[in-house]
Amino acid sequence: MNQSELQIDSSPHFRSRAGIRDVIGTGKEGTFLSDVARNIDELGYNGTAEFIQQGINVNTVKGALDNGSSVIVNLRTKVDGGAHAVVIDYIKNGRAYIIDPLPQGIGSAYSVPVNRLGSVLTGDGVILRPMSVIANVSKEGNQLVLRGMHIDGPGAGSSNLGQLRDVARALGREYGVREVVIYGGQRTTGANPGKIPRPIVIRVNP
Amino acid sequence: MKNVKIIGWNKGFNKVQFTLLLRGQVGYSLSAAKHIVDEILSGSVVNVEIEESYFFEFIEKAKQLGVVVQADDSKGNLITTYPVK
Repeated sequence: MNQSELQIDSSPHFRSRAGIRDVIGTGKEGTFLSDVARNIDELGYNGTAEFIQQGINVNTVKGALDNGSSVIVNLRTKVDGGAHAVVIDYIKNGRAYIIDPLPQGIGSAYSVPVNRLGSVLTGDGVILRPMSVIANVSKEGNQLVLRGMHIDGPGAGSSNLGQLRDVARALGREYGVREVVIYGGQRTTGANPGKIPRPIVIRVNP
Repeated sequence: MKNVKIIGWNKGFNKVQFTLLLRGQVGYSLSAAKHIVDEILSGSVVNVEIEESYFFEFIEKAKQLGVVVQADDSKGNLITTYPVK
């Protein structure tokens, strides 16, 4: 029996750039952030993506990054009064570290003072909240057993069983087992905090 | 280093984020951090050692994540984050 601790974060599967553009509806004029939020699950992302209109400020960004989320924001452009989307990678020592798709086809990474970032935010953006799972993992015959599993979903009631099954099946395939058995840890949220949920058995190839 | 006593949790306790806080900022291994969280859930009182420079920030973050802690600040005052009813 091999026992270890495991942390799983949801992350998109690999796609070509063209494939990604197709899924999120990128055209010559760019991409609507609302389409990114709507379609990112088609890229295999197991967390949730929320499009926020006129509600993104520096504090929102910082709070989201602190919680392990990823943040895409629209910046006001000087040139035409339009908007340009960038990823805020992290904020440290008063500077925001940005990943920018420009120059086209190459991209760039740079940092700006946080107050400078705040002055050019349009207020629109997408917050990607991953589903993180922590459990004691052991392989027992044809089963992968996850004990004391704790899940941090995108919000109360948002980590549904379907997402959990997807993650468990992917993990089961990786370990080459037929079933994944989940013993959930004590609940701290929802209607029954303190309750230990019943075990769930998930067939890897249904 | 300063000692922080974890004495309980509130409804909404974010187990994963607190595990990651113990792992990332405090320096425990993932295994040790999860063990601490499981001990908290089972009702045990757990002591953790925190760098002095990170002491108040840790207490604030622990409070935000739903952890009830007790600790002495450098002036001998007892800090407690009380359960939220």
